[in-house]
Amino acid sequence: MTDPLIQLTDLSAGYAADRPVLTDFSIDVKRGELVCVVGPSGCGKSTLLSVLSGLRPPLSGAVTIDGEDVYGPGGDELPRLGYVFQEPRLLPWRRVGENISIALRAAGVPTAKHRGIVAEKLERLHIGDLSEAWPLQISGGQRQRVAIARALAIEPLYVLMDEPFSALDELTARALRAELLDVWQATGQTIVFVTHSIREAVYLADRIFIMTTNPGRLFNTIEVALPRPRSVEDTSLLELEASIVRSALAEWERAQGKPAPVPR
Amino acid sequence: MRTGARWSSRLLLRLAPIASIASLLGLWAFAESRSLFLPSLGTVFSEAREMLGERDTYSELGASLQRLGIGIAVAVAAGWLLALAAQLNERLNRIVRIYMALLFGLPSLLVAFLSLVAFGISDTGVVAVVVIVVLPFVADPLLQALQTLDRHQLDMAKVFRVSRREVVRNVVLPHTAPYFFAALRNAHALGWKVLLVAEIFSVRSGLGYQFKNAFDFFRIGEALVWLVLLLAVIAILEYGVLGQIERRVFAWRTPRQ
Repeated sequence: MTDPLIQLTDLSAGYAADRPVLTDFSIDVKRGELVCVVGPSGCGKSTLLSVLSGLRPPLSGAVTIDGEDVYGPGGDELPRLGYVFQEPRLLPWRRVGENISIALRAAGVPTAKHRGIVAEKLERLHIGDLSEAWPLQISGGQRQRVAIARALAIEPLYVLMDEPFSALDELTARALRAELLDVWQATGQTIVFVTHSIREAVYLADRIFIMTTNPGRLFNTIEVALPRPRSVEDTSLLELEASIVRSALAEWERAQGKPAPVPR
Repeated sequence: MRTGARWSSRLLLRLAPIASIASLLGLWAFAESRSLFLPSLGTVFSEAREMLGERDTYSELGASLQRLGIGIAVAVAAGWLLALAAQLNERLNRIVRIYMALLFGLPSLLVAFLSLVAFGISDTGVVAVVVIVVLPFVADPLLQALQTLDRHQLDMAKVFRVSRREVVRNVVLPHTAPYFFAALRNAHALGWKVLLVAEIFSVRSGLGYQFKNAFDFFRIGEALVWLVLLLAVIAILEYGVLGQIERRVFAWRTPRQ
């Protein structure tokens, strides 16, 4: 058990060495921590995610996960990863339970255990009765619950979430955020959560990594010391959000040479 | 008022097939009364009863069905290979597309002639005609299928470390299924057309040959019975077999409740 679980050191990533999308990026994520990454478009969040998922070698720097150098020599065994995309990305021609089973099979979980795991995870996300449903029969919020269940079912080393609630209506998103926190606290998963929304980050995270653009790099790290459970309407939460927005907006405008998009 | 309207429209829907068959028979009776050559309904019915009792009728049908089946199977296999080749290599892609464009325009009568020259009087020749004419119509949808694979789904499979075999089974094949069924429908519809032409030229059995015989000896009643049999087989394959399989394969499209 090494601490931290994820370590990025002097990371530079992108398509061409002379124009990295992401540069000089060093962060670490502790085991069981929920961190949010916030930044404007073009700050290299997608690049960061593909480097973190083991799919794109960085231009320079190291990615260490659970003590293993992911892109180092002999690192061909990729760490087990749970991923929640912006869209649910379920296979519409496989029933809900089978969608999760496919991930379990890929993770090497014996088939005999699938049924129990699927039932347990769906139950945990309050959709225990949907195992036999087709993805197109259920609502967008339910689909995203299935996606979360899939990511957690394989008991991954860490979970990446790429704006998973941004395509949902606000009420559904709220419910899912609260449930995500429940599940996270129950399982002790390590989660890296990417979002555009500072408010969402303040509500969810232990720590927030604020990124900036031109080129993408880390601008600030904020410890969110607010006690849990948190409430979206809590004034201290809103004050923290406001102060982050002030400092971040000033930097984003400076970096882009134009007014930054108003964050939600 | 409204329920009455719904009730009557449902009745209409029920009656439609009966009405259409009845009007067809009526039209036939009318045409027969005006024509020297069209046999009467009664003649054709008794002809049909006689033919349906003979074993040969079914072996002739079977011969045609077998040729069609083999032809479609070979065309589908070749279509998959072409689509895969085009997908793997840009140069092959261009070549495949050029050949397909040429094949698309090839008159099937010409293919039938050439195949008679090449294979003589044989089953192989007939099957070859079906394969050559049907191939582009099968390969084209399959090509499209592979080109429209969903990047999002493939990326998902990648981050969950899904093996290549499982990706084929769970992502690629289901995605291509609608295209594949379109290909099968093309093959089935077109296959019958060229099969009959080829059978007229190159063999001494099968529906095409029987049609030719019946017409040569002016047995119009018999020809009509063969026609109805052909239509029945097409309907069974299209709605009975293909339709049933599709209903199962595409169950996931069931509308939201």
